[in-house]
Amino acid sequence: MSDILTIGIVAIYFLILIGIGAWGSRKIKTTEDYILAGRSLGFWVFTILMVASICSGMTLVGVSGLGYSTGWPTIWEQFFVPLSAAFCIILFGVKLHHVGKQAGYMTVQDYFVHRFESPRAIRGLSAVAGVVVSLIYLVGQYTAISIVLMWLFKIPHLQALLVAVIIITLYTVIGGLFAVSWTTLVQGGILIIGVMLTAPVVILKAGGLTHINEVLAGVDPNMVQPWYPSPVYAGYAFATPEFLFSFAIMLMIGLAVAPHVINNVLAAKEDRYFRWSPLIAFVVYVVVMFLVKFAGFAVRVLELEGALALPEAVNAQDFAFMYGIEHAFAAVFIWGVFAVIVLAAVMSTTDRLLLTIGTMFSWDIYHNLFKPTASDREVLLISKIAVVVAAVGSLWLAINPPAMLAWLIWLGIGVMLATFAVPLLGGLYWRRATTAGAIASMAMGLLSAGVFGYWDQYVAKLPVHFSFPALIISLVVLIVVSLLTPRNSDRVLDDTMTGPYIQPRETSKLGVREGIPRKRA
Amino acid sequence: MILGLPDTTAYIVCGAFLVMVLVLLLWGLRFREVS
Repeated sequence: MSDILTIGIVAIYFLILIGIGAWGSRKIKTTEDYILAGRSLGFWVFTILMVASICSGMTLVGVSGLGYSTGWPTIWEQFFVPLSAAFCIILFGVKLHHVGKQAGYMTVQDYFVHRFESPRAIRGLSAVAGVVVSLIYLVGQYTAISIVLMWLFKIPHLQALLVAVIIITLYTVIGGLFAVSWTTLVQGGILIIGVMLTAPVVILKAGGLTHINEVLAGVDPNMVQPWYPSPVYAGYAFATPEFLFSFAIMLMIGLAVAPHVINNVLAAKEDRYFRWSPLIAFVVYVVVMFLVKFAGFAVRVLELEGALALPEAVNAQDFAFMYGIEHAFAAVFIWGVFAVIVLAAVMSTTDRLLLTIGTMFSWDIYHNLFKPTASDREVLLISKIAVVVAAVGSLWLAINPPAMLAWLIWLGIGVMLATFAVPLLGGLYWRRATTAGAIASMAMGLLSAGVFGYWDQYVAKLPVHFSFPALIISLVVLIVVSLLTPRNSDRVLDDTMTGPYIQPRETSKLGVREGIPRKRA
Repeated sequence: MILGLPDTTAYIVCGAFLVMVLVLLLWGLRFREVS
């Protein structure tokens, strides 16, 4: 199907992205401009950036595939993932943005250093964990891109990967977060409108939702239930209530603390965006994800009724949406547009991940750990080099993707959850959380995520997602170690708005709002 | 049956969506702008 029209559509799309990159590069004067777009993102750019950073290749490829093979019981994923955007803004964004603006945070690691008064240990540990997790995640995204390009152009895996990596790296390196956020706005717009226009056609082609549900119920009556009964009786029936519970925690909190998601809150121009952006991000994202999921159901029905056949592949379900589109639309033109939609979904996460890795390496590891005297120019240069190295390194990993790619992606999110969630929540909301507690909790979370992940994959299946016991261990360690060690100074706790509230109370007798950090002289 | 779904599934999924929207709506309404 690689006709001139399709190639033309995809080429124009790539040119627009590079054009935005070139435009972004002209706005960059400092490292802050590169990493945080000069903290100037407006409401819609910020809100769509939040959605599109999370909305990855998994959304179109994975969600329709999951719908195809598991039916309604996994619909909860389509609530949990959008909720992670809202949670990130509410639980972390409000405080981090406010304090970050005053204290000049570039990354969430700056917060850890400030709150826990630990310039090296906690920054090093969290930055290294962040880079590793982001790299794992990146490999998954690249593979999703190459699936799309291979399907569309019938080109080999390596060629497909190279095209995608060169384009993304180019505009990320030259344009920084300006380019990433504005290309994301374009990509997010294409994704949202594209899914809203194409998915309903696939659903109608399969006979409408009522017919689809009736056919699914015929395959397995539990496919139209809100969850599968426990214990698990088949490979596709893993979404039992206990699994869904740990899945909810992992997705809602794990994605919210992911470095490429949480750092976005530092780039918003104003605090007041956090009033409605959670609701808007959630509703838009839910609508898109439900439509993609229903398209996956529809393709299952179309296949059962002999209207189409998925390819003979281990991951055949991942092709569900693409084959649905091919079936529903006769015009090749639409396939080119659809390819752009899928590419938009994958690339909007990939560029954000690349920039995050570059940032953590240049700012947290190089500038703050090894060479505090480095000039702004030098940090900017290192950041760009790190983006290229990360792109090439993960490309190399993606050439021979591991057999269990989905497992790797969930491993990435699980590790983020076990490592960052407890120290971050503890740091923001519990004044008794101490430096030693945070370091121990982060280290133990990382270690136990590795152990439980390995156990779940290679020894014996756990009844819950492996990140859940790791999270509990991380929590217990934070509480126990914090209570045994001296607390951080009140000045730092006040400056970092630490306490059991999201927004500061406006009560003090002196007329000063509690929790608002004092302006530095 | 609602849209071919058992009533319980339809009510649980729609109810969950409404509760989530309501919570985020309340958040927006209770949000205080801090200058």
